Amino acid sequence: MSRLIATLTMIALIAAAPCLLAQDRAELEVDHAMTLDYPTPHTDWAQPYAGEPTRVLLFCDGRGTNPRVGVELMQRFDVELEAVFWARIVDSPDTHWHGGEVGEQRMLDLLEQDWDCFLFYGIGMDNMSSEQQYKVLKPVTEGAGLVFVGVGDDRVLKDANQIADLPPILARGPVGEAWTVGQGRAVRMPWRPEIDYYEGWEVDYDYWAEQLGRAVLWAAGHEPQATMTLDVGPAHFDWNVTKNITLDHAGTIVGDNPRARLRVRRAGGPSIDLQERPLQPRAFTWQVGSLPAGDYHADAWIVSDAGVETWTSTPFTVTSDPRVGGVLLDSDWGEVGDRISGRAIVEGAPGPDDRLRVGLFDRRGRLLAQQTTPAAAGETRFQFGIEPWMPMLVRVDAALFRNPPGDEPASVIDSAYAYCRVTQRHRGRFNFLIWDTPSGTLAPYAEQSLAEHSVTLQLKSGNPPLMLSAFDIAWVPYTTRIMTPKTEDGIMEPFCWNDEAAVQAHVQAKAEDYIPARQHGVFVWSLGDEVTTTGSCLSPYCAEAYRGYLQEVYGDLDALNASWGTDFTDWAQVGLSREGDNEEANSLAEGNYPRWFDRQAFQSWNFVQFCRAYAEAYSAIDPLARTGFEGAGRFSAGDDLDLIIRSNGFWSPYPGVADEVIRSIAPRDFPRSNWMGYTKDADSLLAKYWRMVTRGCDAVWWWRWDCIGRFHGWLAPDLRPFPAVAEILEDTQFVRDGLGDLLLHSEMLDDGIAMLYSYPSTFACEVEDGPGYGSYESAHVAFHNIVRDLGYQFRYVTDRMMRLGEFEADRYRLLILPRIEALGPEEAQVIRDFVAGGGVVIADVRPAIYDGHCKPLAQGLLDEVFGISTSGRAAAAVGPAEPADGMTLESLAVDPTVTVTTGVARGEADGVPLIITNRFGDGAAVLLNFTAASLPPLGVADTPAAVADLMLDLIGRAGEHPPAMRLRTADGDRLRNIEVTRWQDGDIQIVSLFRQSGSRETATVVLPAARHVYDLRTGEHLGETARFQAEVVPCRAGFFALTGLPVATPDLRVEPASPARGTVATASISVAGAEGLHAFKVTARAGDAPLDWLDQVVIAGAEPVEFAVPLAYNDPAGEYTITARELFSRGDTSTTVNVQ
Amino acid sequence: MRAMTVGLIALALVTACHAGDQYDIKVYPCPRAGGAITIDGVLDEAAWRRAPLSGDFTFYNKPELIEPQTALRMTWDDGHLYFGVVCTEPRLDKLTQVGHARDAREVFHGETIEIFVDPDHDQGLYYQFGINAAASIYDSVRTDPSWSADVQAATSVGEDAWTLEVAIPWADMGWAPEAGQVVGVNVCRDRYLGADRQWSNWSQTAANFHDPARFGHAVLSPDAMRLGELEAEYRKGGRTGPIVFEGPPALVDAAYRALARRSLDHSAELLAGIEGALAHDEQQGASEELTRRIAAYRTELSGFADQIEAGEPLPPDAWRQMTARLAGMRSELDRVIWEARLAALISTI
Repeated sequence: MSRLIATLTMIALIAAAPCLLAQDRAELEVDHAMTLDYPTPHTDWAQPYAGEPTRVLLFCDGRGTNPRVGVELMQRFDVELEAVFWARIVDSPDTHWHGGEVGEQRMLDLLEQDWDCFLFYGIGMDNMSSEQQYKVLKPVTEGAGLVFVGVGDDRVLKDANQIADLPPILARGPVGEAWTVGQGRAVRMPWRPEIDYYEGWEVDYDYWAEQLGRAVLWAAGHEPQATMTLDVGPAHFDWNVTKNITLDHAGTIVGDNPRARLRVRRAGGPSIDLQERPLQPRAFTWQVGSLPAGDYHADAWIVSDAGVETWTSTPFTVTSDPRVGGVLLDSDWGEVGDRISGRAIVEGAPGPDDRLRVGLFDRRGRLLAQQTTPAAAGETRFQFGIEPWMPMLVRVDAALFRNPPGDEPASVIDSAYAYCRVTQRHRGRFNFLIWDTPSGTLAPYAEQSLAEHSVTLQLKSGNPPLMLSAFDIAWVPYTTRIMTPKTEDGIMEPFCWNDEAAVQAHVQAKAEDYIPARQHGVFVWSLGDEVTTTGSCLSPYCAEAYRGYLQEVYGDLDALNASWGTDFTDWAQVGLSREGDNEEANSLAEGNYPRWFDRQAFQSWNFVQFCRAYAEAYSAIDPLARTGFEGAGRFSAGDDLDLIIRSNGFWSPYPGVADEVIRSIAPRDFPRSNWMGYTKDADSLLAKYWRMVTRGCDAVWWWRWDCIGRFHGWLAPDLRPFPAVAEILEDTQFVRDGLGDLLLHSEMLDDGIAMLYSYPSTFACEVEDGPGYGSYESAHVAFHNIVRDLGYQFRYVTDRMMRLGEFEADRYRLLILPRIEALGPEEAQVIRDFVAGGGVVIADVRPAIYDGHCKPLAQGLLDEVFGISTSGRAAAAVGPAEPADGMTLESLAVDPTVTVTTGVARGEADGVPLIITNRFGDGAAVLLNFTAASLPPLGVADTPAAVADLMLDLIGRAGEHPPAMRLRTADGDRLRNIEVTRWQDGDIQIVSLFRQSGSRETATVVLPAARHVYDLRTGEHLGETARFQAEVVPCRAGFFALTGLPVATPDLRVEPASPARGTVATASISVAGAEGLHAFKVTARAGDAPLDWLDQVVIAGAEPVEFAVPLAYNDPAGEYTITARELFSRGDTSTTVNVQ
Repeated sequence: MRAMTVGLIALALVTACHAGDQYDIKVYPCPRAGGAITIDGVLDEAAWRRAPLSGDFTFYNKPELIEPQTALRMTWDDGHLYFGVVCTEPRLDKLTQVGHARDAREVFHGETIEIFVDPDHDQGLYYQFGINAAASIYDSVRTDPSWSADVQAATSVGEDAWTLEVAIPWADMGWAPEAGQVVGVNVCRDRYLGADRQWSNWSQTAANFHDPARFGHAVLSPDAMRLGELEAEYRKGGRTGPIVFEGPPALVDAAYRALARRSLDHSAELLAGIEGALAHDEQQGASEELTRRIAAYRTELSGFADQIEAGEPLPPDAWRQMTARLAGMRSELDRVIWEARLAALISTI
């Protein structure tokens, strides 16, 4: 995405898209906000605090998880904190104080406030101006604190002022080095530790955060007035001896009712709070019984009614004999249906009644499966099946027990574990993908926030970190980025795409690199974003491939010679028209369009073949691999969309017309989406989101997880969702509650209207006078809008489908040809047959005036169908026109060469016929002899209603029924600027009403017949009606379900009714007499406590659909309530089971 | 301590330099219309004749003059800000005027003028108006096209140029204009008729047109004194390039003179402050070096003062160089003062 800048610059210039925006102060405050909105596990070390609150100004890098250190400090200590970020400017290599000049002024304003401590986290004062440095150091010399983490400043931390004998609060740990700075204090700490994800990492971090808090409080002069010590004796204990921990204290207690608290805990292990005691004037001792072997901390506090007076922490170690020497897995990953197997190693001498339990735990600590055997020294084998319901990360834990298992932790002697990954790809459901993964010690908190806020997929180059498995997020590896660098000789570097040996060596090495990703679970394999999507070079390999391509296209040399105007006698002679002219620019300049077009088409084909090489390599390591690319590919000249879709395993371009082709011709299981995230306000972002949903995407892809500045990441620097993201999550909740998955099981309708995508026409529109008629893409967009504004839907078909016999003529009544200027004879015949067989075709200007290789034709291939004759190719005549009686349009772009033969003309512009209709066989053809793009848009308010009536009349010639739904304004007029999209779900229709931009408006929706109408946003049943009111809110799609019968209460069952813990109960849902599929959001509670491990969407109809309810051995016993919320009605159906 | 102070001052004087680009900072004295303007694509009202002619459009990504050129005039009244843009076009025969829906992206797919207005000159909230040769309009607040204004636009096609006439209502931008106010403005051109697509701008932008810190500045009905006292506004956003006043030569000369006089006074004040600090310096060696440099500044200032007070007209280029140098000198001296304070503070630790 680092290349996005170039693209965005282009987009900004061309389409007023996101771009470099100056940030105002309010935006900077949003970016810098340090809130406690996203709490994470932590210890309240001094929160609330009996001493003064401490005001901290934090300076840190604003990217990634760095800023979260401020929140972690605020959670643990009585700290009020503001932040100033040093940040990389989005999509540039430049870094600056975030916000530029406005950001620096914000910093100066903050420096005018009183701060108890300045915290420099990973960055020093080097990048501050003299004024900024002065305004930090001046208050420090007058008594404020200064803490450097991972950095320092020799100008300020002078040797002469270093404190040799650290105060106790800093000596314990130790925290770091200390200095005086005038009247102030300074601490320099080492950089934070790098802690990889494991269950218990947060405990390690908690102790480091505690050190940071001590540094800040001491530097600020807010250290506790009391001191305390913990004596744990030798600091090493046997697991089952009594451990004496003695507390002593001194100094001043500020508040009343002082008490002492003690906790012992081990990272990833038990945390035991011992009974609180009134504070004694003298030392006193706690006794702790058996503890599993491991490294512990004893943490103690003196608290009073005023808050925490003081605290301390000291480590100790517990050892055991016997002990668990390790867990050795046969494989650290497996697919569903495989096995998790291996050996647990027991060392020492187990007691006669000791037991060894090997268990599978999820990240929540739920014991999902277990095998228990008498403990014996040496290796014990174990084996478990991998079930579909298992999480993507399983902790395989071997524990030695002396007493009956279940009396944990006291009965546990020792344990060890290994992680095993369960491969999951997350296909067949509606996903949300984020670019990049968090890094740094706090990355798991960011990952957890992403998972809790809808993220199911992540994309990045390289292999996924373990934490993604922990949070059940599948992977999209960004494995390469296909570009076409060339040598001075015009040969691709580092190798030609057609150098088979080099290509194979490259892709196989690449696949080897990504084996860990495959083991994790790959949703799709990415060949990069903003890639080159066409290419060839001057190597002999490419020359040979080009000849092979041409042979396949033309069949024989005569055909090629006829097309190119050449006289080759042998295929070996075939090549470029001029040496070194890789693009055949010479042929274009000379008007030899076929020779130019064929080279362009070859380049698209060539790219696709190169993609195939990767796809085959990835399939060799991942039989279910789907390979494609994203953020690239265009509807206009260059890319053969049909070929890309046929040949790749997925495609996620930027939003555009290509989406319409993908949704039309790609198989339903072909993953497709768009990238979004390049603005900051909820409305514009939601418009992109809902456009994806209404274009049949199966996921939303967001760039990127973190980002501040002119774009926003999904998460703010404090790891909560940005406010606009929170609004998006709320607005789209019903997508995740079942709509997204249900749409994947439904069929988007097309009203029998097909629109033709013609690859050669994308080129033909670019030659001769073509550009004067507007772009190929604008013609298609214009027809999309016409069809949609009239309340219809359409589906693309392609020229290749026609050539391959895949065009289902019986399926369509109307075929639209937007600027289909180039057409091959086979496609032309298919169109002739379609019309002759009773179909209707509507085209705008210049149909089939070039052949399928862009060779100019003396007579249009479809002239007979349209009942016209063309006298040649000429520039557009732009001017006023009267397409119908009484209708004058100011400016239509008309083809002046058309004369009528058998057709009937209607309207004229300077003597040129505008609309020609012609009977042909049993069907009819309509030629709009003007560009559809020059017709006043039907969606805007000032376009005469007669224009819509005219187009409705023409489409009506196709024997169309009126639109399936009619939308009216309060005045009874046609509602404009609205997209109606319908999906068929059995006998149920799901309908969306979407206005991408504009104003809010109330619409009256008129149906052909009464149906039960459900508003999916509210769950409201609007009754059985043929007319209902709908609020059209710009940027936000409304969804409705139309059913023949009221939604019935589903049958929700769980078997058995009293399942035992450690077993898998089976639940099922069905809807008696269902007209189609229904979506259910299934959740569960144990008593009043929600069970987050059961939260899924189930799609079910009349037939029961089963799903697993895996009960862990250590789940609480008692009554569980399982609830299924139906999407349409929001009706809840619950059942209870009595877990034994 | 003072030795360190003086050393740092000397270092700063040697090394201090401007940040940012050196693009021209365009200032347009925008006269009041003084009569009705009919938006018909023809700039035939008297108001347009009174409005200074500006141009010198450059490539969007490099500060070099582009061909074909574009000419610009602006005027205002209580209701509207008006733009008259004449786009010289050698391939006028290829020009098509294809209309598009309001706010359609296709507006930018042909011959289009993009107007940017930052009415309160905060470089934060600004408005974009994209108007193509068929007078189809795209308008947005920043990049949000859901905002719309009651913009009037018309175009006409002449023998060698097409012309755009636009009226943008102040009220829709939430602004009430007053004489003397400064408004951020840029006018950019998207040209598709050439061999290559061309994007050009009146005020040079850096990466793309949405660059409010690099918009030009329209000052409403200013006199020369007013033009000269707005330097802080012109240099907002860290602009360090030469200020380029548009307009009649007499006004331009007077404006530069006013600008230079104010800048000169400010620089002299800063120098006096540094000299005061030097008076107590004990390290003669370093002090002498600094004193020599300050003397050089004084000499330079004195030369400028002579030119300013002589009252003789100067060529615009000379004014630009002088005012840019004065601005640079002020920036250097600002830094020196803070360096000195910081060094003094650190020496006390």
